[in-house]
Order: sequence, then C-alpha cells, then structure tokens
Amino acid sequence: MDNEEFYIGWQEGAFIGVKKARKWFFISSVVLLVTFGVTYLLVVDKFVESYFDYSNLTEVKGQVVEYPVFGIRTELEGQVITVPLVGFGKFDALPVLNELRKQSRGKKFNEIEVTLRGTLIYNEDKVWMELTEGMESILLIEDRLFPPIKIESVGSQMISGEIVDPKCFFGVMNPAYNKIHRSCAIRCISGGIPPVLAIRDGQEFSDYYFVTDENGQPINEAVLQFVGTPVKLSGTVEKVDDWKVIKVSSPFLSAIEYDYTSEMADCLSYK
Amino acid sequence: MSVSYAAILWNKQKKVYDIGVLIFVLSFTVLFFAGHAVLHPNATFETILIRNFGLLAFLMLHLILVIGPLTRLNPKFLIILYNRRHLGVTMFIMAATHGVFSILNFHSLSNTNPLKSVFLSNLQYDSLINFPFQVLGFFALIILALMATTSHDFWLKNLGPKVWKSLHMLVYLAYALIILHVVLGALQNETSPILFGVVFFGFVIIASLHVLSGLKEQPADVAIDDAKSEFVRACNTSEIKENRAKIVTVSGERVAIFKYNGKLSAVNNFCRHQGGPLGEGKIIDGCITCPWHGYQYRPEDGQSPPPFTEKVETFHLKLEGDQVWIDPKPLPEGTPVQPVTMNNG
Repeated sequence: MDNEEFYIGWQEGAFIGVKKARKWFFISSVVLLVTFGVTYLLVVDKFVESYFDYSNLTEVKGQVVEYPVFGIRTELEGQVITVPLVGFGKFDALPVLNELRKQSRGKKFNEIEVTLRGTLIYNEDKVWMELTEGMESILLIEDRLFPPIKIESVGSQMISGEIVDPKCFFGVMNPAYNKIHRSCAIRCISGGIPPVLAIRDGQEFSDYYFVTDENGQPINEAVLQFVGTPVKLSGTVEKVDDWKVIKVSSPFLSAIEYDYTSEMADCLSYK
Repeated sequence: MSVSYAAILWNKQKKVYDIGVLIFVLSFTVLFFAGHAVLHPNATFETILIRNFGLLAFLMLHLILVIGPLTRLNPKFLIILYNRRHLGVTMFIMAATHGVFSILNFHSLSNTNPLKSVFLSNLQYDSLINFPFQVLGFFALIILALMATTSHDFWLKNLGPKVWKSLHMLVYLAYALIILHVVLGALQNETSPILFGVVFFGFVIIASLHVLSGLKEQPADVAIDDAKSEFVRACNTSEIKENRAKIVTVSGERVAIFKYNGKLSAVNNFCRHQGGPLGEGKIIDGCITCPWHGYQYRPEDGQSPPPFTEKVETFHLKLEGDQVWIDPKPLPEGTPVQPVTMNNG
C-alpha cells in the first residue's frame, strides 16, 4: 500500500486499491457462503413426509378409546384406524377425556359415538389429532354400540429404538428426534403426551410402540431422562388395533437402558 | 470522528457497506427458502426459519472474525474493518432471531417457563455428547447481545477503551460456545460428515489467520528495554517512512515513533477510541491518523485537535547520529514533548 492509499473511514471517498479489496472480500464471501449454503442443502438429512394441518380444523367421528392412549377410532380413507388425541401446545388432552366422561352420562365409551374437531397431524400411515379448541372440540355425542377392541398379546421382547414425543415427531415439527429435539420432547412428555418408542430401519423410522408401565398406565416421568437417545426396552408387547404397545416391567429404570452399542455406532459411522 | 453522539454518522462508504450486507442477508434467506422448497419440500417453515438465521449468524461470525487478522496482514482490508460494527449488529439480529424462534418453538406452550426450560429440560450436564447444547447457544447470545448493545461510541466513551475492548474480546468466547453449540447440537442430527468438515474448516481458517497476523506482529512485541533502562535504542531513522511510524515495545506497551517534516515524535500505540494501532496509521494534516476509524492525535502532545478530547501518552526521544533512542517511561496522556529534529531533514 503506498502512502497515497491510506483509507480513512469518515471520508466520503475511498481509493481504488481499498475499493478493490472491499469488492474482493465481498465477492469471496458471497461465493464461499453460497457454496456452503448449497452444500448444506445437498448433504443435509432428508425430511420425512409429515404434516401438521395448521389453522385447518377437521371433524372426526368415531369411538373414544382410552387404551393404550386417549384416542378416537374412526374410518379414514376407507380404513379403520385409531387416531391418538393430544392437547394444544405441549400438553395431553386428558381434560377433554374427563369432559367426555361427564357428558356421556354414565355410558361406557363403546356405547357412544362422538364427533370431535381438531387439527390433524399426518405421518405416512399414522394420523394424530390435536384438540386445538379444548372443551370446544367436543361437537356431538350420540348413542351407538361398538364391538370390543381386540388386544393381541405378542409376548416378551427387547426392542431398541428412541423414545420420542409423538406430537412433534408425527408432524408438528420436522425433524423431531435425536439430541437436537430432546428438550422439546421432554417438555411434551412431561406435559402428558404419551411417549412412543420409534424404531429405525436403517436411516428411516419404520415401527412405533406406545410405552406404558406393566399395567398399561402412563410412564411419562420415568422415561424423561431417556428421551432422544438410543435405548433398549424390555417388556411385554401387545397389538391394539393398528398400534403396538410395549409394557415395560417394574422397576422402570431396569427395563429401560441406554443402548450404548448404538450410541457408539452413531459416533463412529455417523449412523 | 465526532464530538457529539448520533445513532450512525452515515457516509457513502458506510452506505455501500450496509447495502452489501443487506443484499447478502436477503439473498441468502430467499435462496435458502427456495432451496428447501425444491430439495426438501417436507421441511416445516419454522425449521427453515430457525436454520436460516442460525446459519447466517454462524457464517457472518466467521466473516467478522477474519476481518481483524486480514487487516493486519494487508491494510487494504481496513475498509472492511471500518464498518465492522454494523456487520456485528446484523449478525446479532440473525442470532437473536434464531434464538428467540428456537425458544418459542421448542420450549414455549409447555408446563414450564420457556427460559427455565432451556436450562432444566435436558439435565445431562455431566455428559459431553448429551450435553444440553441450547444452554451454550443461550450464553453465546447473551455475549453477542452485550456486544451489540455496547457497540455504539456512547458506550465506548463511558466504559473506557480498555474495558470496552475487553468486553468485545468476549467474541472469542462466544465463538467457542457457538462451535460447541453447533457440534453438540445440530450436527448430532446429521449423517453427513461434510457438515462437520465445513465447521472444522471454518475454525482452521480463523485460527490460521490469527496465528499468521500474530507472527507478523511478533517482532514489534519484543521489549527493547529492561527495568533499569533510561534511554534505549529504538531504531534508525531510515527504518521509518515519511509520515509513518515504527512500532517498538517499551515498559510493556507498544509505542509508535513517527517521522514527519524532518521531526520525530513518540506516542502510545493504543488509540483511545477502539484500541486501534496508531503506529500503523499515517500523519495527515499534521495529525497521527488511526487506521481503524480515523481518530486523530497531534504527534507533539498526543492530544486530539480541539474540539476533540482524546489523549494518549507521549515519550521523550533523542537522536545519536541516525539512531533513535527512546525513554521507556511514559509521560501522562497529552503531555507536550518537543519533537526531535533530524539534521538531514
């Protein structure tokens, strides 16, 4: 830099040399950062196909179920499925379940048909619904007798997977698994949303189990410390309609353990 | 340089700079959303938003951190340094958007206060790999917020240049926290080692430039005096270019010895504005002019010309032949010292 090219920021003008340096810096920065942005878009993990039908409320008519979780058994696109129900935000929908108990006037849930309104959450073949409006979600209760729901025992199993909060996982957020989502998942599960064990098949999740205690009761608090990491669960497995349940044996902590082998494999091979 | 405070003292260079930054931020955001629409249509709006602003802040922080050493290696880049504060504040806005949306997305509408949730949801503080990475990002954001809010000259004046500079050196702590936030957070969800490699590459670039600029300045940091010295030999007059300075270290401080109009004067190298290296400046209109932001001091007394009030320490010099000798004892800031006159002009 020669003596004539001393740059003073508060002066209006700038010498050609420093202007060239600014141009070089700007162009280099843009090229580098755009290259990084494109690289990021090309190598970042794919997003699963899921959807939260935000701001669009849907009416669903069917049978209220309480096991393995609060849900509504209904027919969607020609198939009878159980749509688990969750509340607004990071909460369960149990206040709505209690209100349904009141409004059913002593009848069992297999003796009534209800119409509920909420926001649908889709993930491939699984559908959930957020009862966005709380008590206002209950639109109609009518008399109708439903046959009992078939529960099939599969036997004792040890299953490796990841405990996720299903509301986010199945569509409200994407992606919603692994360490990056742990805090959110902990908030959702501690808010009453039923924990789900998601099983990987290679890069993708392929199978899901509700996690309960050995009596089929919620186990939310006990699983919090294991959320978002690879775990192995041992317990008895049941098929309830189109869902599976793993009932972990007591004491809970001995039935749930970190899957260190999987964790190590994650670290060494980037999964 | 100004005697009164204004939000921003605009000039053409600042406008060009800020327009460039704005164009970059908007273009990156538009391309990032468009790229997701084409390549990742299943990504949610919130996810893209959080990632866009997180990435922008992370990349801009890298740019900010390379500017300092680049200017030391090549003074032509001073034009980038001059308005670095605007780049820093823009980067903070990006980081804050990322942080606020992340907290709203992941921690709000729950059974716990969102801020408490950041600290208390994941409690595996004793694990490296499962460490609650969001806490690291939170503290980095606090540092960036402190820096952004104190970036104006009002705070520089009131905190004093040394405190202000120390506060703003926390950017390196923020960078370390952000690297850990990214490595223990977002990268844990990705299967491609390329992203990890890119983060490492960024770190290597920043570290290398700092090491190189440090090596360049190292000779000036070798003290030429000892505790008992009175006058010590500093350099030959021929080593100093006209209207420029030679930097030497005495009494643990860098001192700039200027040559101008056949005279020599010495002042402390530390500009009272932001700690810029006066010795890398130039005598313009009879005043030492700091290369960073153009603050000026008279060489014979280390005082900014009225109405400005900044002052730096001055030093006694003497000449023996063409050898310049300096008294290592600094005189109080703004003390007039008769310049040494060179016989051969």
